[in-house]
Amino acid sequence: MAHYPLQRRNLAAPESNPTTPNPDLIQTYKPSFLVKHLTNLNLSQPHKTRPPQKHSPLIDTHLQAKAIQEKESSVTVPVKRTHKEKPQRHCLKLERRELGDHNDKGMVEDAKVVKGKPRNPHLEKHDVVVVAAAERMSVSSLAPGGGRRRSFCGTQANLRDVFAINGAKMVSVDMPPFMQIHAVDCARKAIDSMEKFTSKTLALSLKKEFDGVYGPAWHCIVGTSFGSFVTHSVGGFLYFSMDQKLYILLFKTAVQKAA
Amino acid sequence: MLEGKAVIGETDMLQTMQQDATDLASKALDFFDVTEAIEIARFIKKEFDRMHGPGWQCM
Repeated sequence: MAHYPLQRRNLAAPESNPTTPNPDLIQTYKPSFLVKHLTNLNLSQPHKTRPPQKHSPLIDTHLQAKAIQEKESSVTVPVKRTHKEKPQRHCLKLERRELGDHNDKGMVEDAKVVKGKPRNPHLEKHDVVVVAAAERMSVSSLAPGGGRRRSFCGTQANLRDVFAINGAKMVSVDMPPFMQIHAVDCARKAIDSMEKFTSKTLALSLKKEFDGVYGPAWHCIVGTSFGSFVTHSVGGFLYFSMDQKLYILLFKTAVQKAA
Repeated sequence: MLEGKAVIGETDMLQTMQQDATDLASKALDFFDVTEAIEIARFIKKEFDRMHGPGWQCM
């Protein structure tokens, strides 16, 4: 009976059994729950107890996990709003709805809330209506026909229609569209009204018309075959053809008063 | 120099300037072909702008 403890003691000794694992290696490579049990065995010193060792990486990991959990909980907790904020937002929606009833289509007004001052909806409605009317007046005043403004593409299409009706084709242009239409209409009327057509009379009528309407000094050259190189004022140059055979050059030059 | 005489139709210009115009026209016809009307007009206009001040037109 006494033989078994002795044999067990010899087996437990590190010198007699070289295959016994090193306790340092066990502490570094084993998990914490195994390390706790292995340190209680006291393999190197069988009659002395050692205090349990602390493992800082594990503790840090647990702390980080707790911090992450606390952050997640703080993010997921919804923020409660006081009952004072809800009526203000509700009033803002109502005011926007009231303003929206009086607005025209395509117009957006932004309702601003001033804290601490009660709003008078009647005054604001009146102001918004006045602004809308002013904008409507400005839009209608810009358009020649009193309607809404046309886009640039619409103007281009309108020009093409006018030129196609009159048999005109633009060769080179530096002139506003309304002046182009005026020139083509004037040329067509002059050609149709002449009993015996001459280039000189057409040039004279165009030059006189543009001098009278747009001021001096306009120049007009009419012919079937000619070359030219001229200096003209900005926005005052038009070179077009009528009936595919008659070419008209109309341009303006600056007039300097004699000193 | 191109042979031939320039015929002046209507004028309101000094005699010296008329002579300059006819000389430049004959020189332009030496430089360019008769069909290159724009180049001829450009040449005469640029030369007159240089000689007699800016603002000349040529067709």
